[in-house]
Amino acid sequence: MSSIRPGSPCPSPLDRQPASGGRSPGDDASLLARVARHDQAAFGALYDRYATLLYSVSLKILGIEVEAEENMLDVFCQVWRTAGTFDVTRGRLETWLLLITRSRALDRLRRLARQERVAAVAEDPALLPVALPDPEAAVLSSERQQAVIRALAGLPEPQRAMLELAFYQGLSHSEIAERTGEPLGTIKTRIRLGLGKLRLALAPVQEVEA
Amino acid sequence: MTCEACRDLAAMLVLDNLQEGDRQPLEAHLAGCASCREHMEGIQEAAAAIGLGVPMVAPPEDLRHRLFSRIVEPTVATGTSRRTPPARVWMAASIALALACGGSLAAAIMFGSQLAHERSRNAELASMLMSRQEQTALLLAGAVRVASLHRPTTPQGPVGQVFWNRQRHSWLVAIAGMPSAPVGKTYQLWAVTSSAKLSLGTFEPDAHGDAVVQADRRASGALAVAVSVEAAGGALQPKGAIVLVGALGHPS
Repeated sequence: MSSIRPGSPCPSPLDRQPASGGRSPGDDASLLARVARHDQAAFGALYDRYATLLYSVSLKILGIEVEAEENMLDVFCQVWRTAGTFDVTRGRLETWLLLITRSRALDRLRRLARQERVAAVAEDPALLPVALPDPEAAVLSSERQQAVIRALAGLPEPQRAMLELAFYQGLSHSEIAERTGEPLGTIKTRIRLGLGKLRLALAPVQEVEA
Repeated sequence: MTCEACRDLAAMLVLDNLQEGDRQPLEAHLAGCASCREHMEGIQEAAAAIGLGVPMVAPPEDLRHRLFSRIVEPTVATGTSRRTPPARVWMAASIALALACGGSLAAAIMFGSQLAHERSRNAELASMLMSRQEQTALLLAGAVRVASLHRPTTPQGPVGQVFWNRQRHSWLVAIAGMPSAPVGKTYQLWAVTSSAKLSLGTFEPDAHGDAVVQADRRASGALAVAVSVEAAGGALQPKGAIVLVGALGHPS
């Protein structure tokens, strides 16, 4: 089926839930369990909790608002149908949602690139995701987000740029080497070191949550 | 493969960016190295967390409503559950296969790392099935009005069919033989009333020139349907060339 952007909103059966400031694994687990039972209120709360994050990632990858919106609809419809398959003991809900969102957005980006609709976006160096994250934005986000923003901002620029090329554009080591002109070994090292630092930065937050 | 080389590749495995030639030696190393397996599990959350660093942009206000219109209406129409047992069956089969093949914990980890991809694939299949169910429900419902879409300049034969369920405000449009939209352009579908042209969404034909699109929009008194060529992303009102038109007939 071709993609479609509905022309107008349909009335929601739900009243909007207030956004949750916390994203503790325990909260997520109970919320997801209710979504798995097709509890629409829980689904609304889950949407309110993660929509901004997942839309931001979708938009970063796709660069086009309409496509980011379609990606969001795909992701949340998938969550609605498959919430029961996620094992909360094996990982964070946030990780699952981010990886689904990223995977579907990259699939969509590749389809669009094949259609040459966003080839210019994908190739435009000005749109490459190497912008320094805004530390002030951390004030408004969760503690975990703050840790990531601080960690990314503290990475050497080449490490951060290569991590983001891998994450937001789905590039392999060789593709990053081709794109940047850097040696393959350098790229592997930078990604490994960058990810290691990110992991260390998240460790204290995870201990607090645990 | 050394542990250092394995850890270089582990990030790409987690992000599903691994080059095919690297997969087999990496899997072989992981199968025999508990330390690297532990490392790989540890970086999975760190890799996903890169997304937390993105500047936050709020989605459009109406997106939530559109999402619920997608998940709620089909449930009412078909009265069926949205659960997808095949995904669970696949997961169980994967684990069983890993064990049957004498696979170690490493094999289970590899299946785990591929699980998100397979879940995505299963969800797509479920989505396709649901779409077919929705389309069937729409076509079988009463009070459906139809339109044949023609090219306005060469109206030899229809190239598309429109089904409009006025009670459910649902539209189903099937089009064949459409060329790809020009670069930077997209096709946009419109419901035409006596006083307005209401967007039913943008679409792209597949490689065969076929497109099946579904939209939900109230368009009381719609008289016709049209397809125009607009800038990528679509337009609020039709500005580009009209390439297909069709008058809506009486209820079938």
